[in-house]
Amino acid sequence: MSRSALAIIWLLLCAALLPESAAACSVCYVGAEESRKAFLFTTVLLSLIPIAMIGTFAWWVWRHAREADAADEG
Amino acid sequence: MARSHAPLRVITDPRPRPVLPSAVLGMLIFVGTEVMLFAGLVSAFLILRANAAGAWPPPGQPRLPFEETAFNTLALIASGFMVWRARHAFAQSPARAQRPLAIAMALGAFFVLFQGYEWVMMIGQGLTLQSSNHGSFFYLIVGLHAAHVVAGLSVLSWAWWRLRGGFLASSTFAAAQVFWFFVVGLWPILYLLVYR
Repeated sequence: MSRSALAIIWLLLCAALLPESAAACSVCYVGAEESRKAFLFTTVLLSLIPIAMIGTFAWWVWRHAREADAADEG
Repeated sequence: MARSHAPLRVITDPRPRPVLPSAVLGMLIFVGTEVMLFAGLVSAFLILRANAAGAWPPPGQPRLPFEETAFNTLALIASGFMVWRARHAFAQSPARAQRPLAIAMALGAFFVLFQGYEWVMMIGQGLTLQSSNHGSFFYLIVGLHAAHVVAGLSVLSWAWWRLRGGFLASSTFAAAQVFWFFVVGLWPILYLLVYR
């Protein structure tokens, strides 16, 4: 490994330590139960929507492809 | 000199038939990105409302017109129904789709105009972009949806114009429908989350 590559790796490792002071979320300023529930709900919502969309589309394509195959054979 | 004749062969297209027209696939991908855009905005709004730790809307801010907007919501849903009817009419005879499509556009235009009137009333009552987080999110989310309705109306008008001329491809019409169904289907969710 060349010296310059080693220097870049060290630099990146040092840079990875810098954001520590900014790790806190800027909107978590209320410790209420409502707030915790809202964070949980929106996390689940934003995680599931893309999976649901891609899953529905894949299922739809699979179903139509199967129907087209059945029509070709029949 | 005698010419030999090779037996005729039927040449078939070896490419598989696409499951979905390219126009519809492109529109579905676009709508998928739009769904995520609105999901992000709604998530931010829900967290903000939960963090308000008190009455919503914030003190000094007007209550959103839930009952009046229910009527407008019905108009937009009716517009989606008319596009669905236009789709079925198009399958029988393209010319028959003109009327339901025109009614759908009129209902969509009514929705936008009614919302404009509602905004004028809300601004008059002191709800502006800068008055509170409530106002900011209201105008951002509802305004973005209204912009989509206007874009959808432009797409439907273009489709209607092509239909009148007799040169509207079914795939183009299907892509326009996908966008309009997205706009119509999204609104009741926004309405229940933002107005209530």
